[in-house]
Amino acid sequence: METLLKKDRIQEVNPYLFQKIQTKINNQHSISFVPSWGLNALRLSIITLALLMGFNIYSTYSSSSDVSPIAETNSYKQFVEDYHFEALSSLYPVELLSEE
Amino acid sequence: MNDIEIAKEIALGNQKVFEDFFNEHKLKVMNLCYGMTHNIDNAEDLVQDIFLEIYSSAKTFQGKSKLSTWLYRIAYNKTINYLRKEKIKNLFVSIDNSKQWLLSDDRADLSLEEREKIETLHKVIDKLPSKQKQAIILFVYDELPQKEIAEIMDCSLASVEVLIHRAKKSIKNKTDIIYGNVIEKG
Repeated sequence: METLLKKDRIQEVNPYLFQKIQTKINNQHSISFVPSWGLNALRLSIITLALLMGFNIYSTYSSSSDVSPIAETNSYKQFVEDYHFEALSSLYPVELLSEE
Repeated sequence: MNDIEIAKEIALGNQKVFEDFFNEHKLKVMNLCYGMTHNIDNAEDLVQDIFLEIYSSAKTFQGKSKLSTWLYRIAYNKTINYLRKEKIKNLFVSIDNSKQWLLSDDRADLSLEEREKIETLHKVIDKLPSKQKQAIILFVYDELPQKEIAEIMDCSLASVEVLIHRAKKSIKNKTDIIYGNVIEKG
């Protein structure tokens, strides 16, 4: 078995094989017009963008979950009565509010 | 020049060093690819891909193993990936068409009887479990020492010994059955 397989071994390689490899290397050089540092910069910006987006989404959800209902105690009701007009003044003209 | 220096020179684009390195290892790499694919054209394509990979990733060689071991590991992985892709491709092609190239024109150096026997051996080898096939090809086609095969396959020396022993036994049993059947039919 081993004798037969040894006969099956390749004894010589195509003499033009190295030339073919050289040609491929040269083609690769001409194709890769973007310098490697440019590709690295591009990769880094994509990663940064993805991280920022992730952080943005996270902060949106985490801030909305922090809001808890306010207990309507007497002091709260008093506060609302005292500052009712001031709170609304940014939405309506002061004159309109004072007419109410 | 030691292995790290050779890798450095290749990474720097030293064509002379790269050509010397290619000439030193081309036959063994070719035999590894041929042993796995049984086709000279496919083996040549693989050799080109392997040396291109070596050229582009020579800068990553750290000298943890011999440069030749690193080369064979790349060759081995590339060939395995190629065979996996071929296996998927062959799912969509009839087996008769995909195997028509077997030893037809590319091995004029062998007699017809030898070709037939080798073709049978190829079929038997292809049916071996993957690890046994890889070990026996590195051992027989590349004539690599078992220690280096263990490094390439990333397993222990004892495992390689067992794999080669089992592969040889399995090939012998299967070829005996095939040739036995041929004699009985004759």
